[in-house]
Amino acid sequence: MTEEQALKLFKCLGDRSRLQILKSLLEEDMYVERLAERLELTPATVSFHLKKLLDAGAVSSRREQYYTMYSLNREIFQCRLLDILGEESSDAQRQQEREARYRQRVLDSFFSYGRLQSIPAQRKKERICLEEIAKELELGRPYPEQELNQVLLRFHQDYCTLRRDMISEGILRREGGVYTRLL
Amino acid sequence: MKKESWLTYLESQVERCRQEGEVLSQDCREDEARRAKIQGNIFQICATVYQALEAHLPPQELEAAYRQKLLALPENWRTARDLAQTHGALERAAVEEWKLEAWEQVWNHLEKEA
Repeated sequence: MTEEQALKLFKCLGDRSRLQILKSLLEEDMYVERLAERLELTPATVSFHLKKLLDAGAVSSRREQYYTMYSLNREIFQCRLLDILGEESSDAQRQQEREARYRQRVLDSFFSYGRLQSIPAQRKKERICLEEIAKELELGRPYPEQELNQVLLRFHQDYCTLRRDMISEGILRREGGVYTRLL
Repeated sequence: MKKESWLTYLESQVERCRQEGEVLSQDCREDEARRAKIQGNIFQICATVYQALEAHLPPQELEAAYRQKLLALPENWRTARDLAQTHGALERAAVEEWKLEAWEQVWNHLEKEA
């Protein structure tokens, strides 16, 4: 069940009469008038509720002779709440997409033909650029300082600032003159 | 039909609907609370129609004119209900049916009073 479907269902279930209808349908399939009689509601009110339940996928309907019979969609209620919580939120996905687009815009602004035009003043933007540069380094492999400097020089002449900031951002670790990529 | 008792009846129905709506709302039955509100409005309409006619008609013509107005009231609701049912708009159809339920109560009461 998607987050959207869950929201629709939960909204629909937040009504005592609709819960009573579902409880009745749990026992057996019923038509409108039967439900109305059982729950002491008018047929119009029961129809109103059933339409909401139909739209939320909680019930289904079928024609049987002169009546429309309603039945509970049991599968939908077998879904665990934990599974719904575990479902990636559409908001989270949109946020990820927004971040990816932002990241690309930063890289397009600051890189030209593979070289960094300037080191961004804004920390967030600088980090994006440093992470991009770090992709040239093998994860976990130790680099002597000279070798690292050569790699960084390919991107910008101020390799010292790049090196220092990559350490402070936790992208590189320095130990006894040897550098290791961490992220 | 006595004016005071008729208006008292309609006002009591308006109040009954209002109270019913409050109870239903507290009982997590918002849609039925809305039904009560809609039906309260119908009772109010019936009272307003009566008061409007009473303002410019002589007493001997009042009841007949009121019955005529009252009979004409549900026509649009029935049309809207039938149209909604044709298009499968069951929620909409139910709303129109609620109005008709209230109207029918008023009409049946009027018939009893006559």
